[in-house]
Amino acid sequence: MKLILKFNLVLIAVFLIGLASSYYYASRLAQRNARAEIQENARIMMESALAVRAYTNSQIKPLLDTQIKYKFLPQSVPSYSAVEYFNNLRKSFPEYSYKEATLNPTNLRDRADGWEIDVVNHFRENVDAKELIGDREGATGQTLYLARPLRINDATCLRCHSTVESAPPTLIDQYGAANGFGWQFKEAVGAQIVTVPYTLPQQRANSSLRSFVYLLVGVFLFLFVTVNLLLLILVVRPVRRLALTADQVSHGAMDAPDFATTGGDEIAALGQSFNRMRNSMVTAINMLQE
Amino acid sequence: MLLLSLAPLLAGAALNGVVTIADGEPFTIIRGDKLLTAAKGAGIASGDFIETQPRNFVVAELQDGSVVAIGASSRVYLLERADTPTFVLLRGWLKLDAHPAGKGRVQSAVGSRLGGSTRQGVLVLHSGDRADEAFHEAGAITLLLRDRAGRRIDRETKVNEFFVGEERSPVTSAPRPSEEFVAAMPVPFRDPLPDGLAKSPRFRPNEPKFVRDVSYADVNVLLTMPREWRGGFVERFRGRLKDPAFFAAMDARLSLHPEWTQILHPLPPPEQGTTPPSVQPAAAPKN
Repeated sequence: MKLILKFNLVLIAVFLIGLASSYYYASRLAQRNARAEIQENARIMMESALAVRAYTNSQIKPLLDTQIKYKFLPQSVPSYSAVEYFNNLRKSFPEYSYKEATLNPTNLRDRADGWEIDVVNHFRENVDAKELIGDREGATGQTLYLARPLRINDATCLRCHSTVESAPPTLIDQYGAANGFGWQFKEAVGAQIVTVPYTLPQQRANSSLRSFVYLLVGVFLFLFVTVNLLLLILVVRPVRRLALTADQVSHGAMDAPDFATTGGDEIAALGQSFNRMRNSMVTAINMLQE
Repeated sequence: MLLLSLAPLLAGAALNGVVTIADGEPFTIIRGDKLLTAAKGAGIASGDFIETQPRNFVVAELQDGSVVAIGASSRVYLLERADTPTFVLLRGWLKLDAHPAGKGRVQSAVGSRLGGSTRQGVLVLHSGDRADEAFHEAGAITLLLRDRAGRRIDRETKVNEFFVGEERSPVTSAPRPSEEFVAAMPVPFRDPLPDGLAKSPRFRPNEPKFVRDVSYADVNVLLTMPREWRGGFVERFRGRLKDPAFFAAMDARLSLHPEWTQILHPLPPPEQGTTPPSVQPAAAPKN
């Protein structure tokens, strides 16, 4: 087996092992990053919702307080603003969703359904729970959900949600007296739930992984060709020429030309040593013939 | 009719303010016996009779920090010679935000059937052809009423309470304003009245412009409003009797304002022994 073949077989084996292990670790890293990105997206969306709620509570509601005496304006309700904000956001990102899932909501569009009830009950049973993250299979594929409790920490909320009598009459006009009452201070009445699809970040991660593999293969091919060329020019060809000269000398062709050496590398040193050895051998033979 | 008699309250509190918002066309003010047109920046004072046009919305800040808004097609008389600064709403819509800062005297806004007074509160008053309506929006309000016998039956009201005073019917209350009231109310009344505009460096006073001396038609509504609010009108409009048209119109409707009988047809001095002119005693004003 030729030297270059041996060399290439080893090189390819090392590359394949490296590629497989790199792919494995890069894939795991990409998945981890994708999940972290999804969680980060969910958190950003959750914080956006909280920001909209705070803005509505601190700036919009005071402006509309007087109007509510005449006609109830849901725009003054923080949860309504947050949901409307996300409804607009969903026009560009339909896979994302936000819901203020509530067991006994004033606005029935906020009523908790199915798995959301379990999330709400988790917060009702775990008073100290601040956040819940989980995966679920949705209509658009696998999604991650991030949930935070809707706890009544502001007693002013109870003005509209404790009893029918204490609620603004215009609120009753709008939503009726059947829902959204009987809430208690500090009670977890619902949960803010953001769902974010895995699809997009995963697609991005897979795309990055493919690019990484292509790059790795490309680098290997470049190195493979370069190393083979160098091996051929610097090692294989001089060794072949040296072997040819040695063959000629061994067959009695003492007039065979010297092995031409250039540079100061190991092959040149070998050639010089060979030439010296041949000259010494020619001198010794001539002395014996005389 | 349950006439709101404010006579015990009347005795000399002045109202002074400046118009900070005047949306729509210029509105009119009758000041003294002159008819003026006014716009944003105009001053208003006790004795002024303000009449807005169908597309007007007027807001005025008073000297004491209170804010009053007047809706379209409304007539408001700033009562003169009153102990309590009083807005008399003869027709249309008025919203009074009395002393938002919580300092000041009691102010009143009244229609011919009901009204309210407040030291710090927000009252919306509507005066229609058949009924007056009042809505207690915020603060503390005292509803000004009289029973059929004319006795004061003022009562404290609750926030969001709504009252309707109709002709010959007891005043009714409800825990919220009626849909018809809200639908008819000027939309800007749904918001808090803007204050502090008069202190803006951009604010410019704008004197009302003289149009002409008042005609009888201009002041008819003033001259025929409940007698308790008509104090000082004889002195105020006496000069206009030089105008034959004014005199004739006044004379033709003398029964509606009998206090002018002696002015238009003075009795001759008794020592002359002549027969007094044949002037029939005027009927009492319709309450």
